Amino acid sequence: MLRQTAPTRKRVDRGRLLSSPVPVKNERDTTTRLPPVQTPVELGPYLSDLWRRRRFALAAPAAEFRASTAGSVLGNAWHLLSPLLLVGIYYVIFGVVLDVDRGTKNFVLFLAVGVFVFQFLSRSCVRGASAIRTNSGLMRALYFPRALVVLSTTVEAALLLSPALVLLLVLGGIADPSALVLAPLLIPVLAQCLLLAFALGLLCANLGHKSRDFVFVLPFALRVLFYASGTLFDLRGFASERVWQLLLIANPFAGTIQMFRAVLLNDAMPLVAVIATVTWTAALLAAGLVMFTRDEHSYGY
Amino acid sequence: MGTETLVIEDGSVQVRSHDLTTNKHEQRMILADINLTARQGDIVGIIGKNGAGKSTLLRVCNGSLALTSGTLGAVSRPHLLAIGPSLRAGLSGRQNIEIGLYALGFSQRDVRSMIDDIADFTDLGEHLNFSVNNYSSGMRARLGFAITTAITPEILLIDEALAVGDTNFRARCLERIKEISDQASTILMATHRMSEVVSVCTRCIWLDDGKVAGQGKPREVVKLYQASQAQ
Repeated sequence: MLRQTAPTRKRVDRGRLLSSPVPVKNERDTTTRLPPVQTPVELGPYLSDLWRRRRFALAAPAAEFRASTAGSVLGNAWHLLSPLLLVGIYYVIFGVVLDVDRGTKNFVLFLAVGVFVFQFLSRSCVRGASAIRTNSGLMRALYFPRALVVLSTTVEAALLLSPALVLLLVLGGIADPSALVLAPLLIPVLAQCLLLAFALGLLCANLGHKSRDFVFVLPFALRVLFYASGTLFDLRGFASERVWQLLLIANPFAGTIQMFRAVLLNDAMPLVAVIATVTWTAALLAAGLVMFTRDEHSYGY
Repeated sequence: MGTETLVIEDGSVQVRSHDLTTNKHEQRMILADINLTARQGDIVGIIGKNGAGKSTLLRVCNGSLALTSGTLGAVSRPHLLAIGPSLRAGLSGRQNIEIGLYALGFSQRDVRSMIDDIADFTDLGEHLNFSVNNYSSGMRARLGFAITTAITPEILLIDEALAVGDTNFRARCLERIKEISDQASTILMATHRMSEVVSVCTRCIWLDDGKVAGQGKPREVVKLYQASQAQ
């Protein structure tokens, strides 16, 4: 039994409408409107939803580690060995061959802190930039706050940093036991560093999603930051105290690395640079959250 | 008649396409004047030739493709099951289930108690311990379906994802789809298997060239569609 209904007959060129239920406009109770699928993100509920699913941010990197080192003889030990080897190479080249240490106290530890912390921040940027692409299958199939995939890359980088930090703490304690007095300060310093990494991850994920070119530009930007952060050498050996302070204020990478050095090596850290680094972190986190959630509905497609 | 869960009013999608032969850009209408109201318990079959707009319609429902004109409302963001990559490349099937459940917000205890049932449902056996990179499209579909239906989604969209599965698995999926719809969920499925539309769907929409060519009882719509195909 065919039945054609007036409101749709005009629109359907073949005019073949069938028996009920025929969902046409006037059949509905238009007083109850359903919310649109693409609603703007409200930050409060978004963040609590993110927190509720935090377990993902631990499980995904753990699975990734197991998969990435599967088949290698040393397995997860590589995650500690590779930065250590890097520190060794830098030490030979910069400390012994080129002799740029210019009397820096504990040059190996100084280098190690720089390399580990910089690697953590740059890994957060690089993995953040590809987080959307890596997880597109997951995002297409399931709905969850998309910032979760960025959080998981930050946690992944942090898990790689943690054994290195323990090692630094032990070596720092051996070299200068009095330095351990400052060890509790590592907690706020680490918290700031994690928030900065998450903020950078959000920004890079958003920019990487919007423009493929960003992924090509990123390594160069990170290289500039690498040299401008005094990762391999003490900037004070090359610039005046004032310029050094300005660098610490202007570059949150340098500020963060110096805060770790201050705690682990009992090095100097100007208060103004601490304030600047914390301000940078807060501003980048706010910008990251706003920019990332504005495109929430376009990720994964 | 259940409560409305997803409504499209006068929905149209236009895309700007580049004609590579004439080297000209043109606006092409890929969905036109779609009016669709889905309710709790509905299983809506979407049929039509390749390129008729079935996947486009599902992407619109999922919110991944915006309507050029018209409105779309839904009680919650629908989950979309399509043929494609696994959730996370490089990891094992079991790890994919695990992180999928965590992304859905399950606790560690929930995941532990659910994972074996889901693993059983996929019937992938020891393949679950190996990287999904080596899975066939049918195996990926099994995994994807099992994870997406681990929860009872309010709205589930299935884009021919079952087509690549074998007979046995498809039968179990259809069983699960019925269960889900019994729990007041809405399911929209694009498919080329008319027998499935007739046996499972409560309604059917026939799309042709981006327009609704007919909708109503599955048996009747399928008959008309098949008649038009035979011409």
